[in-house]
Amino acid sequence: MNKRRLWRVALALATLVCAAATAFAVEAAARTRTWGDREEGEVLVNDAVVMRIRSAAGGYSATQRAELVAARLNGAFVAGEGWQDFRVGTVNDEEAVVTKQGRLIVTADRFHAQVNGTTPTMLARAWETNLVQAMGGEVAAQAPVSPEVDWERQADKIVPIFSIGTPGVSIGAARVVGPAAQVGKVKAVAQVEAQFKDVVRAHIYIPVSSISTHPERVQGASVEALIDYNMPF
Amino acid sequence: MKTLRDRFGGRLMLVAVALVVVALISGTVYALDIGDLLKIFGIGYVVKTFSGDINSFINKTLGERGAEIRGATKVVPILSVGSGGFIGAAQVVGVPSKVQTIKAVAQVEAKFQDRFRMRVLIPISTETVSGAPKGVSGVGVSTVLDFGI
Repeated sequence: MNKRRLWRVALALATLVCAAATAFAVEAAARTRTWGDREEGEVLVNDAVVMRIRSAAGGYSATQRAELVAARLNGAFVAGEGWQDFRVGTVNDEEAVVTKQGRLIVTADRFHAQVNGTTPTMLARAWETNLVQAMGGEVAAQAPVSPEVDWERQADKIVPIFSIGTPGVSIGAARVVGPAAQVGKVKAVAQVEAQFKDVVRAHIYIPVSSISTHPERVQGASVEALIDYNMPF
Repeated sequence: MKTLRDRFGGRLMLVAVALVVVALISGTVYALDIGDLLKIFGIGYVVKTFSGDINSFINKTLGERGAEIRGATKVVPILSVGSGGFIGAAQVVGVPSKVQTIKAVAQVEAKFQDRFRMRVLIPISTETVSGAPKGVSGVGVSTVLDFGI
């Protein structure tokens, strides 16, 4: 009888542990993204996009390369490795790598770095940050950082704000600030609405170089003031 | 000869009690959601408690739209210069060393030509404002957050 009870308790505990493990499971996946006429591969961890593979290489398409990265990540996750084990290494001026416990996860090359306007090492660090954050970890001194992006306030400009859902519809104006060259590129501010836990409403403002459904962010420019116009009717 | 119950009975009881306590504590924490915390402790507390989560949420939302920020980011409360209270939150963006110093965003409201209303958002390195707020150069605002109670 006592043995039976013990077995029952052990079984219940094992079920609890299994349920907890399932709830906190980390999973990587890959998917195809079409950007203009170009096919890109996206790597996701817990449904968050952590990196984009923008070109084919070594006989693999961009999506296949993304799948390869996702498979390497899943291998590490199955082995029970946490977010603390990611490392970035600079191979040379052309390449940097993200590794996990000495195993290669992904290579950040010069092409991808240039597309992102940064260096291979900084891109690898940005990917590492995204991976850690997607796994619920913390990164010292905040996220993707590139010393090449200058955020110093040198110039300002007033531009319209448009909703990302309905481009062309102006919903106010904003004063953007930043380095003169970057502020010069800003044509508008795209507004994205998002809800966090039903209570917090986020109005995200993205300084962009064109008014379209897929606007490109102008790095280094940010919003300093919001201007509403009170309609007379 | 000692039975398993004799050997482990006390420990099992201890484990069972610990599990119940953990379950109760977790239940209490989940029962108090962000809306309740907002009502009880106010915006300042909620922003401090959830700033990391909200920051990650915004960065994730931006990442999904291919509009990642290449700079340091942080979520801080918005301080009304008129009333002196916290009225919301903002994600600030900029040079990492400068972003780390930001404690709040001061909001100054101005009207001109009767129909235009301007909200100037100034990242500051203090949690209070006396006189005209002095902004930190190299840091701007990326997101404004409203809290609905």
